[in-house]
Amino acid sequence: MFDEILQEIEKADGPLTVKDLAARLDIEESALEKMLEFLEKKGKLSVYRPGECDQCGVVSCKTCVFGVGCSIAKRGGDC
Amino acid sequence: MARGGSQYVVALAGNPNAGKTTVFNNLTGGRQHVGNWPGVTVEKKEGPSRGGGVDFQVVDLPGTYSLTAYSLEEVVVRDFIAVEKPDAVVNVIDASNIERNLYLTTQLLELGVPLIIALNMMDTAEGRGVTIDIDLLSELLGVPVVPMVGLRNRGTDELKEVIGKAVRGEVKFRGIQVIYGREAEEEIAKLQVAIERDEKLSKEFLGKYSARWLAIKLLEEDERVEEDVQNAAGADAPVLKQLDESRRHLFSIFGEDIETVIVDNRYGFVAGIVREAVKRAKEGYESKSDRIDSVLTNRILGFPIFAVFMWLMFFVTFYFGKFPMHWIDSLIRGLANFVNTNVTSPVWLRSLLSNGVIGGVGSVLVFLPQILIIFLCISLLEDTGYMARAAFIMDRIMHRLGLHGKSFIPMVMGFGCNVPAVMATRTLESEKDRMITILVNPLMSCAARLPVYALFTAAFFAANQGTVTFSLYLLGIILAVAMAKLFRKTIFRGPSEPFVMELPPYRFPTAKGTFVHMWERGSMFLRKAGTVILAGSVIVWILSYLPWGVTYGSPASVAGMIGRFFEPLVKPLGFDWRAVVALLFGFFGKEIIVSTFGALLGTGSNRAALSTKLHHVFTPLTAYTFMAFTLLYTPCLATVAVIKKETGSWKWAGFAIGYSVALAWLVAFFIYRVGLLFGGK
Repeated sequence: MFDEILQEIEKADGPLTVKDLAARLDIEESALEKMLEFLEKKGKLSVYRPGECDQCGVVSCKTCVFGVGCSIAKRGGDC
Repeated sequence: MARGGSQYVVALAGNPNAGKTTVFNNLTGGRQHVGNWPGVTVEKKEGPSRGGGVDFQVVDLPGTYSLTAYSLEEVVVRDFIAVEKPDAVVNVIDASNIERNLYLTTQLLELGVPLIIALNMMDTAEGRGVTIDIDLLSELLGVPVVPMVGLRNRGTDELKEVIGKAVRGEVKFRGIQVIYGREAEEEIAKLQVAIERDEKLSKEFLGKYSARWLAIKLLEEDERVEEDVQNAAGADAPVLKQLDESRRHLFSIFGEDIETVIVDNRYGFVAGIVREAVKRAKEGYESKSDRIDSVLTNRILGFPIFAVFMWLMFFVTFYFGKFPMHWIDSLIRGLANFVNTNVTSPVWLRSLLSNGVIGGVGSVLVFLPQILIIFLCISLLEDTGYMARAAFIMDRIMHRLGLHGKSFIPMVMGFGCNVPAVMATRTLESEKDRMITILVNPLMSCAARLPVYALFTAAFFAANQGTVTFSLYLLGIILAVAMAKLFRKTIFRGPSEPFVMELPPYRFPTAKGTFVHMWERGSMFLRKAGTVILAGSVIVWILSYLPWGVTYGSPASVAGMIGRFFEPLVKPLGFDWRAVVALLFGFFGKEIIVSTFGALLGTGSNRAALSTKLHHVFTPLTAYTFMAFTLLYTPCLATVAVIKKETGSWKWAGFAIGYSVALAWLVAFFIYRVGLLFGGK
């Protein structure tokens, strides 16, 4: 499974959304998310999740252009 | 554990949001006892139920995605099943996300517990075009499967019936398990033997776990199991030596850690089952976000739509901004007139207050409405989820140019302010990608440049303010992409890492959220007006006023002398010494360019007079050239400082200044000369 995922990303002509990748591999999107999480943890790829400050590295929700949608911003907190 | 008078205990396990609590409430009829799991603050719920002629106690376990000891919840679930040995475990599965949910099932099967699958949310699955062959799924997993719709209390009686039979031992569990491939299975077998031979381990663990489960967990590098085994058998136990050998052997075969191999096999096992027993409609389920995305992130339409949104943003900014701008302008002019009338002497103090302080800060402050409107538009684009799509669209273009697509994400942030945008490059793991992104980020037009565009477009392109400003933003994007490509080909060569992007769903922005966002950024502009811009305006006033006795802002003033010294450098671009002074002070904050012109042209806060007098310094062609130069030349002081901090080197901060000034000069020269060729003035 993991080899197929990594190969598909490699050969993609441009960036991929999780939805695109799930469709290409005929894997359920939510299952693919968990697999990508694992591969990311192992340093084999990176997944960008707009709005997750701990992911995007922005120092403050106040200056994050994606911040308002993330769980931290919804709670009114700062990163 | 307390069994509440019932003979049997049934545990409910499942992923978070699989509807476990609903199933629990359906089974117990809402009769429940809520407490905490021993030693932890994870909530524990249990309640009585009856089915198949027997009473049983239902225990709701915390929601988990796996049984690896990464979280407290996972440990609680694992320990409960292994130590308390429930008579049956009901694995509640969200049928609409069956592939993800079955991953936990593989681990529950591995624990060797009497398992029942409660296939919940069948209605949602059907709505998404997912059809599940229940009998085949049951056969493939070797356990009973009960389809349910928990929210409508459908399937509860059937589930109770199956539980009743299971706890009485009337259901046969075939114990199907994941096979990890010949090489891994050989090592698992060796470890199983070593575990079974170890008396201490057998005594401590084999009552709770199977030797196979322990062997797999040890290979999987489950820290908790490894620690427990070490404590029980000792650090030099044969089983740990075997573990070390097995891991090394498997690493030499697979070239990666065995945990990856094991997890990969589990997902492969699940994929095989799903392929057999689950059918997804070819068209698939399309949410509203999907339908919107099919247009907004379309390969052909995506970029033109993004460009239209950008153009609209500037049109709205200038069209609606001019009304409140006139009010603020009148207010500031009234204040300046009041000072001129009431502060009669000394003359220098009156000039400092009206030209330096009020004129300087006021000439920038007058653009507050435009700043607020553009931030309102940006906030709307972000809050709806569109800005993430904009990053995705640009990302596609970047990727085609052989660049790391993720680089554009911090660059989109540069529309607001380059300082946090440079900081946001921390998200890039590759040092080379990060350096490229930092270096090109200042080419993205930040909000501080907006007052300059607003002043010049109002003076020279009044009928097309939005379009001209849009062209400058576009120029910034194109040059940022081109420079990134150049840096990738020259200074920072190397491949990019694989990258996938999750797009958040679209949502309706709330008025409060959008206005709060707008104000957070707008207030930063106000703070800047009261600090950096004020200080800059006073310094410009001093340099324009001295030496004592010269005409204010004349070529004979200190500002004039500095400007004339550097004037030959900008002459080929059609600028004079006043542009030099404005650009020099613009290094401290691009808005100061506006107040500097106010000071040098002696118009103070009178915006209309400033617009008129700019025609003595610029033509439409040189005005556009000047705006392009302002867009591209050197990052501001705060951005330079953050580049130094992020790269850890003054060398790169200096390089950012040097290359951007050179680029600005070349682009401005090109625009001016080509403009002249086409008869521009």
